[in-house]
Amino acid sequence: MKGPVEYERIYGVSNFRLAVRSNSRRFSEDFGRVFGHMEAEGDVHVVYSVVVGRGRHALYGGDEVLYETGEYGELVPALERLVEGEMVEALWDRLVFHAGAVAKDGIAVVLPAESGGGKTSLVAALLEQGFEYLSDEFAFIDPESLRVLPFPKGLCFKEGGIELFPHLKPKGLYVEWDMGGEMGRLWYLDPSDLGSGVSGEAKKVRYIIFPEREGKGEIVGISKAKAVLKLARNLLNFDFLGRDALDAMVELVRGTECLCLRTGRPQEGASLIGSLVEG
Amino acid sequence: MKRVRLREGCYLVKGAKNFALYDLKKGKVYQVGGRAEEVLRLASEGSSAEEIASKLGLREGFMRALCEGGLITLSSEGNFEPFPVPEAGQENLEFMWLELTSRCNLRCVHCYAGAGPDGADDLPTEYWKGALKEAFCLGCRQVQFTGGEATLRDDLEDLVGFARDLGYEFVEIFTNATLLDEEKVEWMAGFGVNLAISLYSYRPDVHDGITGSKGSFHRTVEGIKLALKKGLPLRMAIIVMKWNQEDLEGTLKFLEELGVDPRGIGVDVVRPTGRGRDSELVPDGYPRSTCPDFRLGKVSRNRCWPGKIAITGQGDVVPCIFARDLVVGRYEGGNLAEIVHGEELGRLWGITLDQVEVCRDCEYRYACWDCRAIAYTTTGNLYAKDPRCTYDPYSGRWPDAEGREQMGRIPESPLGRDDLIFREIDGEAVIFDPETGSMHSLTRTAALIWKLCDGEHRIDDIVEEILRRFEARPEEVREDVEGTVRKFQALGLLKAEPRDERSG
Repeated sequence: MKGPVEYERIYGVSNFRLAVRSNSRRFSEDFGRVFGHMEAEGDVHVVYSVVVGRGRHALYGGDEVLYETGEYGELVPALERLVEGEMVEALWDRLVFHAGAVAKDGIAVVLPAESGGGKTSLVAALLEQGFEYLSDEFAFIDPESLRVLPFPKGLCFKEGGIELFPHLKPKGLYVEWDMGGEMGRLWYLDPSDLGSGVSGEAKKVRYIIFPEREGKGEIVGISKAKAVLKLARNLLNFDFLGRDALDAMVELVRGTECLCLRTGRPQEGASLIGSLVEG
Repeated sequence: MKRVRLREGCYLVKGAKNFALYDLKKGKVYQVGGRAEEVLRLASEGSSAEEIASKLGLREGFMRALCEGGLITLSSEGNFEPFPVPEAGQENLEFMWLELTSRCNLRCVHCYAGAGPDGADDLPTEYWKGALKEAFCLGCRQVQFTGGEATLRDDLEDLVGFARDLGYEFVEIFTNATLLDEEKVEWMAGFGVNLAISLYSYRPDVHDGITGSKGSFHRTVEGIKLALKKGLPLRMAIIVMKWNQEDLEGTLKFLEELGVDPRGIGVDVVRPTGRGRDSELVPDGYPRSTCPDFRLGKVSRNRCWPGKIAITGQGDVVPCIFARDLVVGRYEGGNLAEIVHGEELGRLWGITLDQVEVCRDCEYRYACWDCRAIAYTTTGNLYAKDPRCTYDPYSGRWPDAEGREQMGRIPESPLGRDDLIFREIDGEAVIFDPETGSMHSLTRTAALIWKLCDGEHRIDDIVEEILRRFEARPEEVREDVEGTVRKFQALGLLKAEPRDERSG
């Protein structure tokens, strides 16, 4: 089934490089909409290939078939997860938080929350208010400099999230994704489509804001000790980094303002954060 | 050479000090004490019957008496196997709470959901039907409709009917009963609904004070009467807090006189969730011991939340209505299977007390009605001991059975474990426990108390030190210091040696 590879793009983060090859221009472009801001040059460490056929498509890691499907729409999310996983692993020596991240005037705001915690919606609302994009899923923070590294993969909305931004629907790359018998619907959006700039540089963290979905629209300070606890809950590589992670998190909160954002409405949350950062 | 063999289906579970015998066939748990414990201890360590009799100097006939009692048999092979904790990942969705609304016509002082008349907008009928359908496809057959106040929704009958049509075998509505009328109980009876109702006191002013709504007592009692008249299966919940702690006996009597089956009356202490976090609500004598239920049902990884989920009024999926911060996903229509089969819920469902501080050393850990939600909401640590439990597996003592004064027993000169990592941040602090991977945050005062838990300072010295630094009333400081040290103890942060020495 493997066919000729005509299209290749290299994506990267930090010093890690990964090539995605395909026989399909359409796939190459579609996938480019997800990782386009992470295109890079240099020697690659990992190669994935996607062969789009007539009613049957395959995804290879090296020469091994990793995924076969009859649904073209499944190829982008399937490869996205693999590529994202490789990149996260390549940055495993940083503090890897489940968090959105945006920046303004060179200052980063990190928004730690668990999966399904509304990170993408809040980040999208912040981008519409003029913040620069860093990430909607992972915040990679260097434990020495305490700067957050950009991870500008396209924003990935689930069905409920995109309904809060109906005007963005036509701009997004829409895919359907079979999740064990249930159809998942995803929209990938280029952060530029939200009027946002995409930051290419690591930014100093000034604010750590924990979004909570319930509340009457307020942003309130929390104790630094509690902030470390909440950060630790969203740190993916605590086991790997051990007590160094604890020390880095303590340093991180020492130099930042730590708050809770309580609102179920991302636009309102973005306004509150905007006023805080500008004020 | 004869060896001691436990009767089939029996397992010996070791605690730090004592043993318990679990009989899975009879569904019972026995405390093992005295000579029987010594026999079983040696047998589990590999000694033969003859060796045991010789080591313990047993009189002739003791072993035979144990055999005749049905506890053991003597055979060529022993059978001291570990307790058969089911493998993780075997749990299926069995029960679901649906919080249909965040709105409530009452505003109870302790509401776990923080509900009240100004609650957020409800999610639509089709959303909840989707959840019911997807949960049913995952094997769920039991559902409770709750809120807020579920009967505020106009589509409740439609949703209950939908659940029944799908094939749900158990459908319960949790309500304050103030809005029940003839018509509602009629359709509820038609659908075979079970009702659960809260009543806080037999005294109208106390009940109304808790609900924040004058006249609610009479409306709830009318609702209970309607349900009884219609023959609806009824479960009553009395939540004990400071406001009504004196009324419990009277309330139980009042309900029985109304005609409520006493077996359907449950008593619980206010849970530290939502508005229930207010420490002023906690009744005197709390924590109180949650003695293990010495009856065993189905053996599972823990006895409470595996197989359960709740969907909140905002669509968050949590493992229990009282664990509102442990969001494992957001139900968005079509994704319940993904959440239920997800790693996070699997991790929570899979927790056993073998992973929990202190409990892992308790012989009753497979029989305990432990509440992870309370442990988590109280301490911020999912692997902390349930603070309601006062059983000390290291001394094998039940403080509340031994008198109230025992409950306050804390180390005279508390000593923190030296393997913990303590970091100060602007006067506050965090403690990381490398053994369990758990972390705790400390306020300024707690951080100072921790630093004085060095085995040198006695409680009195710590109180004095705090008084030297802060302006406060001595009795308040003492209460604070003792409470904080007790919490350190419950979290397993203190060294056990001083306690063991004192317990002799």
